[in-house]
Formats: sequence, C-alpha cells, structure tokens
Amino acid sequence: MYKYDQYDHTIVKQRVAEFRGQVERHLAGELSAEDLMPLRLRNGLYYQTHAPMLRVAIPYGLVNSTQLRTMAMLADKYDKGYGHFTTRQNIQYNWPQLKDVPDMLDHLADVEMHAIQTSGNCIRNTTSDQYAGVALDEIEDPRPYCEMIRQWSTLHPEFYWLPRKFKIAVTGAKQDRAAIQFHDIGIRVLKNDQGEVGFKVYVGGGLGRTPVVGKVIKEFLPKEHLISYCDSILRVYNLHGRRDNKYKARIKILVNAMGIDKFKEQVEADWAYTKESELKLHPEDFDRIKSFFEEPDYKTFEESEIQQFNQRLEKWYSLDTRFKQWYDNNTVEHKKAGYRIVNISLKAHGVAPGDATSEQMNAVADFADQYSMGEIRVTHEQNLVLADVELGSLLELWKDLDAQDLATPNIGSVNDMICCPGLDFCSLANASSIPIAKQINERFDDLDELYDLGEVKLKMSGCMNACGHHHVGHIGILGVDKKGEEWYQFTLGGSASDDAELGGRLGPAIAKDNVADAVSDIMKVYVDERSDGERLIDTYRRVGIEPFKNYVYREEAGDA
Amino acid sequence: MILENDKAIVRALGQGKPSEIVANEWVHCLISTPAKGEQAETLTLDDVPNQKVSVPLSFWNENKQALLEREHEVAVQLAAADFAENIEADLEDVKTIILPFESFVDGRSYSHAYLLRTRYQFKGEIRAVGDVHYDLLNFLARCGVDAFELPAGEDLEAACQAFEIFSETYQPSADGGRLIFSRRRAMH
Repeated sequence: MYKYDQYDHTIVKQRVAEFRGQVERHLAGELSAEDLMPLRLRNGLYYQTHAPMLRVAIPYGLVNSTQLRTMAMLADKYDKGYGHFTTRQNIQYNWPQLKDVPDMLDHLADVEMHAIQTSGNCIRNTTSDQYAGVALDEIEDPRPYCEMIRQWSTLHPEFYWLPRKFKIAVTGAKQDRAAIQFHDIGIRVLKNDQGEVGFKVYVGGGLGRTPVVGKVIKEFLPKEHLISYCDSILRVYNLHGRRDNKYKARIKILVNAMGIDKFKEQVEADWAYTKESELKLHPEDFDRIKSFFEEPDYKTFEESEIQQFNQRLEKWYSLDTRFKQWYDNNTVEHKKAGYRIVNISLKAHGVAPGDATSEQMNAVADFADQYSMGEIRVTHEQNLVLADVELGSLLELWKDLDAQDLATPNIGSVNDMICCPGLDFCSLANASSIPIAKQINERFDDLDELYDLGEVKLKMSGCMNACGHHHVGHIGILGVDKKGEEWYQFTLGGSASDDAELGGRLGPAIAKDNVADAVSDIMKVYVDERSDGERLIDTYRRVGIEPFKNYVYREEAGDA
Repeated sequence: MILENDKAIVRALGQGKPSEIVANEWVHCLISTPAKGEQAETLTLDDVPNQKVSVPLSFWNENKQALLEREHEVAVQLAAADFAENIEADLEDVKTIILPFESFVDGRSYSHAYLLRTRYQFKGEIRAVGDVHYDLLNFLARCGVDAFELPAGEDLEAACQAFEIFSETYQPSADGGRLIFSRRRAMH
C-alpha cells in the first residue's frame, strides 16, 4: 500500500497543528463556534444529535493492521469502545470530546492517516473497489489513480470552499463495485484499442434528495491528464455551481441545468489552458505510485495442491454446514489460484450495520497479519475484507472469525444491509434506521432461508440526504417524518452497479412496525414469481412493480 | 455602503518572503447583494469619495472615462458572482483588483484570483476585503491574493504568520508551486 514520504508526513502533521491552534483559540473564546464550524468540518468533526462525531478517511478503503489497531485504540481511549464504518469507506467515532480531537488526529498522523476533508463543502475521500488489485475481472488496479487524486485534492487552495461536497470514485474492474455513476466524478479505468490506459469520466451523478445517474463527459481521457481534467471540472463547478440553495448546489444540478454538452464545453475550454501545464503527469509519476501497489509475494501452487485444497474444502463442508454457508456467501474468487477473498460481515444479528468493537478491530488486525499479508479493506457496503487468504487457511480463519462474531454468512443477502446512523445519531434524520435493521435481521434470522433468497441489496436511509443510498438498493427504504411519526418509503429495483438505475416507488409509506413485514412480503412475491437462477432484481425487472405493490398493499386495497 | 478600514492591511510578499503590515489608504464603494424584497443600492459618481477608492465592475464599465481621469487611483471590485474574464479587457487600465467577500464560505473568488494571475497574467495587487480571516489567508495567498484587509479586532501580527502554517503543498495554484509528483520526479 501507499507509504507516506517526507512531504505527506509534513503536510498531515502541519494540518493537525493548524487544527490544534483553531481548537485552542475556540476554547479560549477567540474563535466563535460559528467560525469554527466550517474549519472543524474540514477536519472531519461534526456535531451530531448527542455528541461530536469524528469521521476519519480510509483512502479508497485500504488499511494495514497497524492502522486498524490505532483505530481500535482510538475507539477505546476516546469513544465507547467501537467505531462505525460508513458507506464511503470512512470510519466514524461517535463520542469524542472537542479538546481531544487534535490528539486523536496526531495518533492517526503517526500511522499515516488523517481526517482531512471528510466533511464540509470540499473534495471528499476518494473511494474505490474493495477488491482492487485482487479481482478476477480487473482491467487495471485503480488504487494508484485514487492515491494521485487524494494528493492533488488534499488542501487544494482553490477548491476548498465549494458550493457543496464533492465525491470522486474510481473503478478498474469490469463490474463496477464502487458505484461510480453515483458520484460527482466517476472514473472508470480502461484500455483503448491501442492498449493504452486511460479513463472514461462521468460527471454529475449522485444520490441525496435528487438522485441522478452520472453522464459521460469524456469517453477516453489519456492517463497523463487525470489531474488536469479533474481540476478543470472543479473550476467550472466552483465558479458556476449554485450557492443560493444548498439543496441545489451539487454538481449534478449544475450539469442538468447547463446540459452535459454545454458543461463539457466549459470544462474543455478551461482544460485547453492546463492540459499541457504543470498538472500533466509523466510516465515516471505512474511508475512511482504503482510501485506501492505491486502484487505481494503470492505463493505459486501446483495444480495438485489446488486439488488437495479443494478436497479439504469439500471435507470441511460436510463437517460443518455453517462453514459451507460462510464460504459460499462471504468468500469470492481471487485472481490467483490457491487464494480467496474473504468478506468479514459487520452485520451480525442485533448490531448496527457497520459497527465494530475495538476488540473486533484488534482481532481483525491479527487475522490480517496471520492470514492476509497484513492488509484490510473497508467496503462501501460497510463490511471488511481480507483480500489475500490462502485456501488452506480458510477453515482456521473461519473459526477465528466465528469466535469474534464476524462470520455471519450474510454478505450480499437481505441482512447485509447498508444503513445510515439514522435518528439515533444524526441530527438530520427523520427516522431511525438501526432499529429497523434489527427488525429485518430478526425476521430473516433463518439463514437457510436467507441463502435461498440469494443476492438482495437492501439499503436504508434515515432521511432524504440518502447516506444509506436507498435509491440504488434492490430494496430501498427511506425514513420519513409524518406528523412526528416515523414512516418508511419503499423503492424497488435500484442498482448502483454497471446497470445503474434508480429504484421505483412501491407505494405509500409504511408504518415503523410493519417494515419487516413489507420486506418479507416483497420476498414472498419474488419467491413465487422467480424463474431459475433469478435474483430479486432480475425478477423485478421482468415482472415489474405491480405484483409487489399488489401484495404489499393487499389489505389497504381490500379495505377500499 | 462605503467600507472604510483605517487600521491597516496585511500584505503577503510571496513565497519565502516575510509579510508586512501597511497602512490602508483605500475605501470601497460596495453594492452588497440586496436582501429578499429590498431594492439594490445605487451608486453615482458624486458618491465616490475623492481618495483611493474601489468601485464595482458594473459601475466601472458605466463610468470608465470619468474614473480614469480622477486624481486618485480607482480600483475595480470583482464580485464573487462575476467572472474574471469580464475584467480581462480592462486589465491594462486597472492596477488593483478588489475581491469582496460577503461570506468566507463562498469560494468563487479563489478561482477569480487564480485566473487573474495565471490566465490573464495580472501583475497588480489583488486584495481580499470583507469576511476575511486569519484561517483563510494562506489559501487566498496561494491563489494569488497579495493584500488582505482584516476586520477590526483581528490580530495583524498573528495574521502575518498565517502564511507559515504549511511548509509543503501537494499542488500548484498561482503560487508558482509544483504538482507533488513533479517535485518527487526531480528528487530522483
């Protein structure tokens, strides 16, 4: 993974010192709470319903075991012993004290981490594919490009006070696991007919109140122009984006208002001045950054050894059916024969999705050292990944994970929900999401049933800001406030992948106590209607929303 | 509204050079954005005091000849909502450009300063006035602003240190800086 050099260390340390000064001035009464607010936001510090919340960046979701142990230590020392992994590959601490935050940031800086620009109207943490570098369907590892974007966008003096927040995602695989079409800038690494690496660039995608699928602004951007082209997009947005209404300030609104052609014309006009400037990248720049992401020393296994592994797996399946469920649901094929990608579920029964205790973080750090080259990934689905596990170690790893309650075999299932913190933690939320997640978990507790239901992406947000990405859930659930009561609006058929689509509205909002019933109704219609091998989303696309609607609202229809 | 600031200003002298505090000679005839339902303020030539003064770009455009004939220098204000290209044709006649900040969270003027310096090669003074505070000075300076009128009560001596917070940067702006990757390239 990337290692800081003197420049990175200096910038991150000086940034902590700057923020320490701002906090000291505030505590001494020299800097008002109002003036401090945008400054602290740009250091990751929010004030939520109950207490401050610190959001720490995990650039493109990659951490090593030392960093994870530091994250666990911070949870113990400054929080209540746990952290919350978010849909944007960050970690949040919910209870730190303002005076302690500079110390927390210093601890993070010591292990090459920071919270810079994790909130506020600026360029946020760049996200990517959790299987980068190990995916079978990868064209090119996206992480070197993510790291270049991280450096360019960090403390960029011109783009620090944007109309609204700005999110960039990069994927390098055939299947988009980074939801790039729902980002302000989405970047797909690809090769042209000559075999040269470049980028397909999308702009103006996003969720939130006005969900929009990103539009293509550049079919093929040669890689040396990565930074200059992003720079020009940001300049046009900074100058033209709306600032009079925060709900209309995202770049998606600007792109829609201007039209993609006119927007592109402005970007290209600006870019004409900068494409051959200091911002142009050189081949050595790529070589240097890529050297940090080179393949680890994988063992080469003989065909006979792989066969032996597979025979052992077969034996283990028969010893414990739970192991087979876990293997089928939570592990993914690795590009190297003899290895497997292992997902660690942070969606255990009764736990808020994405939460991990310090004990679990320390344990995962140990497992990473023991089984997976010391690295861990954080997924936008709020799980963790050990990317490089030898087939021969899977049974042991499973036992270790199970002992920490981290082997729930529900990756990709209806119980693997994406969920925002909701009313319990967030001052913006209209409705709670964590208790609803629990309600659904309990309903689908029978794991055999789960297994049979196949891949279901259930995503839930506690308000229109859509932190839980409900618009792109196969099942999307949005919390709404109706005269002081919590109600839940359902959508069906959304997708954040290559077939990007926004979900269709199922019907009127559903009362809090009936949410799990509605999910179970939807699954019943699916089971009745599905053809062989169809996932929920496939069935939905074939039969449409009507059968689902009719069944979920059958009683209301009967009353009428 | 006439903004007067008889205290002093901070002038950044560029990378590596110490900044300085100098007496302020300027006043600014500002036309602020009218609140909802209110009429926009008007400004006439008679309202313009007989000293070094800045006026909005629209007023400059309407009264350019008369303003150029005045005894004292006239500076032009480029509002956040305006565009640097709209002043390009006048840059030979203008020695000082004022960037008024109605709110410090409005970042458009950073791009104005950057474009004035890099694209239009403006060599005169670019001065930030209004809602401008210590914590903003460094990035403003990197984008090409070289003079700052701070509101009353701001510690000017401390403000002179604002440019020293970071000794390294990741990216160029109008500061003659370089992209981090090319600096690393040069090291190897």
